[in-house]
Amino acid sequence: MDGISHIQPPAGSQDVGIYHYDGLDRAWLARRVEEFREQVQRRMAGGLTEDEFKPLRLMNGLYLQLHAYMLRVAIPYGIVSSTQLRKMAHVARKYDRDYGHFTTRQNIQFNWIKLEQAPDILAELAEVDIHAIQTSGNCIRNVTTDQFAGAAADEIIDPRVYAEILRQWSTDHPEFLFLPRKFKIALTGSEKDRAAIKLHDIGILTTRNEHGEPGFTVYVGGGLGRTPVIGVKIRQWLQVSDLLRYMEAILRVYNAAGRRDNLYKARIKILVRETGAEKFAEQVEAEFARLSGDRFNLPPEVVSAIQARFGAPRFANLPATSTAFDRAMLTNPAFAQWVGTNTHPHRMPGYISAVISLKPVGGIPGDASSAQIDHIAALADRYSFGEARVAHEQNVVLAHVRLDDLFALWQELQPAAIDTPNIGLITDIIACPGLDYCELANARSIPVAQAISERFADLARQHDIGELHLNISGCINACAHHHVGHIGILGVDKHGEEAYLISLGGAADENAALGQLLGAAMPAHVVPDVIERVIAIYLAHRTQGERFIDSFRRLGMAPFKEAANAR
Amino acid sequence: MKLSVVTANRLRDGAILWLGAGPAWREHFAEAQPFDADALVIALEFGAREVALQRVIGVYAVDVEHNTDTLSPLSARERVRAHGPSVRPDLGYGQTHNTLVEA
Repeated sequence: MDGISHIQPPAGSQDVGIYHYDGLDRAWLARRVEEFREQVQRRMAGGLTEDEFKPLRLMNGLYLQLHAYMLRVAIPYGIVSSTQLRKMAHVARKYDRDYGHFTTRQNIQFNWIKLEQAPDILAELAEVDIHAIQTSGNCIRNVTTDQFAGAAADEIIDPRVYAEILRQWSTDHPEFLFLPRKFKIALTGSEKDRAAIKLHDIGILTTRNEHGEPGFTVYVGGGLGRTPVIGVKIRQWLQVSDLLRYMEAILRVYNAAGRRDNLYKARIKILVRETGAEKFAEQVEAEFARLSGDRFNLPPEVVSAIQARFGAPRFANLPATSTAFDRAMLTNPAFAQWVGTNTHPHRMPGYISAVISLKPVGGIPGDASSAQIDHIAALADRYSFGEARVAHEQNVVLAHVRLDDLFALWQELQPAAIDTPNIGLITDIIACPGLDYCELANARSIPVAQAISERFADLARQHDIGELHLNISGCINACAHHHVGHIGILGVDKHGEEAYLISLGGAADENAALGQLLGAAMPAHVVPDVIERVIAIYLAHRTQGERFIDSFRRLGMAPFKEAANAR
Repeated sequence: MKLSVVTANRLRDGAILWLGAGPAWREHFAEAQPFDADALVIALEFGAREVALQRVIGVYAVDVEHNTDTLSPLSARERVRAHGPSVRPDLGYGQTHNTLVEA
């Protein structure tokens, strides 16, 4: 195709830990942009009806929401370079209303897009090797993983490499572009689940066998939405080299047997439930055995080749401790408080991962202005090898920060109002856009999140309450994963008015559980009061070191329900 | 008497439109024309023709109530569409005059 040979690699260091495209990747992406440009032109000229055009725009991540078109841009497994971040900020400024929204699928959404400008936006994004392909539609979506991938101290394998292999396998896969329903895969590189894998159509947990070899445990049929289900284990141990063959087998069974007659019964979770997990696993194993090992085998040299396309940060040889860090911890309580919640151990001595909160008190969870995105890009350049990650909790991670530099980084967060020390606390709320933006929503979720955030704004109180995951979805599609929040809130439509159901006891980690309903739906203004009473019961009954979720599991629903219903 | 207005999204940019006097599409809810049941049928027929002309998409009726001299959508969803995201008043749809627009 003309012009493709002139496409230059994006500016920025090849050390950045994203997967680096080559000429083939860029040529493919350029063709896809031009294909969509032509489709948009045909639609604008009347050559395509909306019914004909809708599946085409959805395949390119373009939705029509309440106020405008919305573009969902894929951030593969949440990892993004500073160059890519700056391009996102540019898109927000030039084509949107100066902000973007980071999502629970580690993507970014722009809410005010014009159809006539969408091809230009995609062309600009392609300049930095990002796109919106397969962020919608009944296909395999952006594979998600642990936001500390490649950095976490407890990591067995680097999940980015396998997430990228899955991305390449699933992108434009000829058999799996028109599945019965959308399909989501999550992968975690350690035995600690930081990617909510049991809530995905396929969840992949890295583990070791009795010989110490790394491999995967595979779960299927997880999902939230109208029918929330925790995924079931169908393979205790899968050799790394068999990953693609096994994925292919699962998708083939689902593609052949999944229901296409009923939208609400089309996800793989329904097929697994109706078939029975054991029988479904047998069908997958049979398909797995039929598939050619040669064709689907993932030999070490291929894995190494993919690995080599990721930039590798040039870590310095550092001592495990830092005098500067220790001194700042002792002399600055606010910094120490932030470190306590907003950092994660790094595998390399002298480094640490920092989590930038996009949940300021009273703010909109996951929203970032173009100025904030630019600021994060600059911080990524200065402190983290030009790379950042989007967490499924709607925050941003700088994965590779020197302990020596952490205090300076923290000082630079404050001017952009991204220094809130609340990761994992009650105000680190996961919220979908809700009825303020979303075509599907029944109720607003953001104002409820803001009201709760303001109610619990006091940091000392938040830290006293401790780890608590609060999720708010504006409809049963559960984009904010309310079913698995320690406290989950679901917006519903009650005779044309917004109302909210509260559930307790959900969890998204390796002990994944679905929340139980606290009571009847209530109006928005009552929700913070009820949360307050629920928290009071926890504080009154907790034992030493017991988190909210632990207390709930020990006490059961009764005392919380009684308190919630008290007037 | 039950009253409705007619709404759609503009094809080229997705903007919310309300059918006003003329009939013509307006960007501000305050300029939406209320219709009784008989007039609504005609208004929706106009909307269907606009869809066929590829000017707008998703034409439908919205039930409204009359409060003194202003209209208000009955459902929360349509109130958000009429006034903009409640959490970003800076992005709301102000009530301005002379907002006749071409779809």
